[in-house]
Amino acid sequence: MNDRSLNISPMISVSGQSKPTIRISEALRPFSDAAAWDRLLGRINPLWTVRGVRARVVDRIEESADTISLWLKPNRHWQEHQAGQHVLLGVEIEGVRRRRVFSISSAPRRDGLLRITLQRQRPGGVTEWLHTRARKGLIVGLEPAGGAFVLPDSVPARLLMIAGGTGITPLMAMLQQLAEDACTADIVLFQLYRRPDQRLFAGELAELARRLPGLRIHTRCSAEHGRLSPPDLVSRVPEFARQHTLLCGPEPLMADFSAAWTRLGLHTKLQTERFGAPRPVAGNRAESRIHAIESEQVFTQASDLSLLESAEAAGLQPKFGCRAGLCRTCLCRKQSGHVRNLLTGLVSSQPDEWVQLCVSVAESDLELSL
Amino acid sequence: MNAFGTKIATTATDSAYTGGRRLGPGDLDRLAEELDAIRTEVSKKVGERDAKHIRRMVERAQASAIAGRGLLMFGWGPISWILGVAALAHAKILENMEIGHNVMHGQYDWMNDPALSSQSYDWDIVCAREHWINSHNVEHHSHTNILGKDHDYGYGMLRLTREQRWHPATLLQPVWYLLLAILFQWGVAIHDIKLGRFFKGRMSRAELKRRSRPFLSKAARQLFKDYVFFPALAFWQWPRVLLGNLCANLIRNLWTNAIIFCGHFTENAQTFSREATRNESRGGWYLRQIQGSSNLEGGRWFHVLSGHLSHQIEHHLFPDMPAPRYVEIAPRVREICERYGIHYNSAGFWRQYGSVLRRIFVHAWPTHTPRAEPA
Repeated sequence: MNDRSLNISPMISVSGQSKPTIRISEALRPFSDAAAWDRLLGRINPLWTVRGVRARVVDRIEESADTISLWLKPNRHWQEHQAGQHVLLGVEIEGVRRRRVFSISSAPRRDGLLRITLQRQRPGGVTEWLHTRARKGLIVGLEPAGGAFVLPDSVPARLLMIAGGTGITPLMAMLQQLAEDACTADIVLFQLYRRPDQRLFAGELAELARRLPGLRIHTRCSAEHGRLSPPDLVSRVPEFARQHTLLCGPEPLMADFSAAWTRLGLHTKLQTERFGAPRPVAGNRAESRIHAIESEQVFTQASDLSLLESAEAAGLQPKFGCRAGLCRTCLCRKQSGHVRNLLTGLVSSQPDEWVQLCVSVAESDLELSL
Repeated sequence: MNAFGTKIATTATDSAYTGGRRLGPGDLDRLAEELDAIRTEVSKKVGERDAKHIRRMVERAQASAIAGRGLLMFGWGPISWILGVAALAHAKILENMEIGHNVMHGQYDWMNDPALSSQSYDWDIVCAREHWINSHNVEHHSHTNILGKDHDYGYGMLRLTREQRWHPATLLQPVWYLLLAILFQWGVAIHDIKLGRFFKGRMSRAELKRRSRPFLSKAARQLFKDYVFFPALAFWQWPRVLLGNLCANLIRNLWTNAIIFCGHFTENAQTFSREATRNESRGGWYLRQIQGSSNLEGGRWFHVLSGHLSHQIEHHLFPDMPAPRYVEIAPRVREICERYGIHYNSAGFWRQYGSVLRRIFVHAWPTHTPRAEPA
């Protein structure tokens, strides 16, 4: 699952000022240079690192016409995740390090393996690349697992799970965990999907239903039976509607159910995991809203100003140098959205990329580390 | 041209004298368009090949450093010492020129690799990264060869053109230059502290202290590494390591200094006045970059060891383009220059460096400042 708009801490820590005191690790360079050690160790075994988590793809499974699962064997730096959490996975595509968030679709296992499940996406992204290129033996980078979409500390007697499409992935991990713990709670899972050939994990869910006596699975294919509306769902399992609810799926479905649960006054019972990226606003730059995350401000970009000038007009004071795209003093981490570089004409559309504020304009709503 | 073949700076606000013909604002706009087109075309092609190149350079520098330091620490006899010095000097040159300089220009920021990001890379030299980024990327690359604004022009201690003021101490500038060449990394390191301002009373002591801090911490780290830490690791072999490190740093200093001086101080590299560049268009900026820079001709290894500053003209036009691409676009830039009648300053190393040394000697004498240039 991908395109999550999540706040991901940037991989690079930007240290603008050098500290007056000399830290031991700095004084011991080059022996303390982890990147250099990783390069040396990587020549012997690509999984060996002194810090970063790397993983090898050990199996690839075709789950449906457009969805695959990858089983990963991480190195010893990996710390066990909690069922339902996601992981930031990095690969190198044409020389560029790209990263994307995927839900882990397996519970923690004794052999240390973990599984991600991904649906084919538009070309150019990490997901598409993995679909075409991921084979046994591929090495990927991982960041520690994160996210608050996990089971409650004490599992309630009744649990409602709603999964739309690939939104089933974190819930699969949770169900495996519950089976592992021999949970006796009553669980209702609604598995919603678009086309008949898009139902994921049918066999695995049947197996889980055998191991979990309280699990009941409802499926709904929207192409055949239409979309399941929130009132429909509530009327089918009225005794579960007021229980703890876990919801994950595409944006329209999430919006529908969140609104319905809020109307019923049940939003505190609802636990969600969302995904969906902003689309570029074609030819309407003036309306781009820019969220400066660090200074907690939102400003709009005027059509004739650069991002740097717009930020300054809004009272922000980003660092700047030549203001002509040369020196990169104003380089800023873009968390999400589309930015066009006026010098090169290239558009930065991936999350978590550097942009030069002085020669860039927004092409959609943005989140900047400003 | 004066008697020594030194050409004097010329630019006008509305048009530019190129030596062959005058370029009007329309010409300059077309020039900018043609050069922008090259940039756009190359930035679309940049990818795996460039990533492979810089990774290979990083590995080569690392291997060379390990070999060099290993030979110095564990070797016996003069031959292993000489080989060790050569390997370490090679590693330092590669790291400073082809990796450090280019990575800190942001040539590989698109790779999104924290180890190759202009925002965090720090090089194996006493110059602190933040000082260099300001004095080099901001001041030198924007104000290339504008007297009084480009502090890299003569590094505040050398008189290289008649427009610069002469002083009796200038007579000794060949000696200053020799010292600068030997201690080049220190010259680069203190450059952005701007000591001159402090001595003229235009900077407070507190300001000086604040400005010096990154330098002092970086210098301490570098001195500790090369003259305490690595010699100590070699136990009784310490004098061999210490002397070897000193020589490797010296070779790196002499080489980088020669390459860098060939970039903007050769015979036909022009200078510009503040007034002439006040309302400069983008095309005018491009023209100044070409006229103020000079190239060196040589083989592939030479380009790599110069950090591709052998293509100074292309580097100044597109400072953040991955450096190996300069070799690729150089014939096209040259062809454009020919069409516009702009002098494309390119020659072999000894010829260019000889003309730099000649300038240092010639302008040590009180050559008078001319009024205006013939049209």
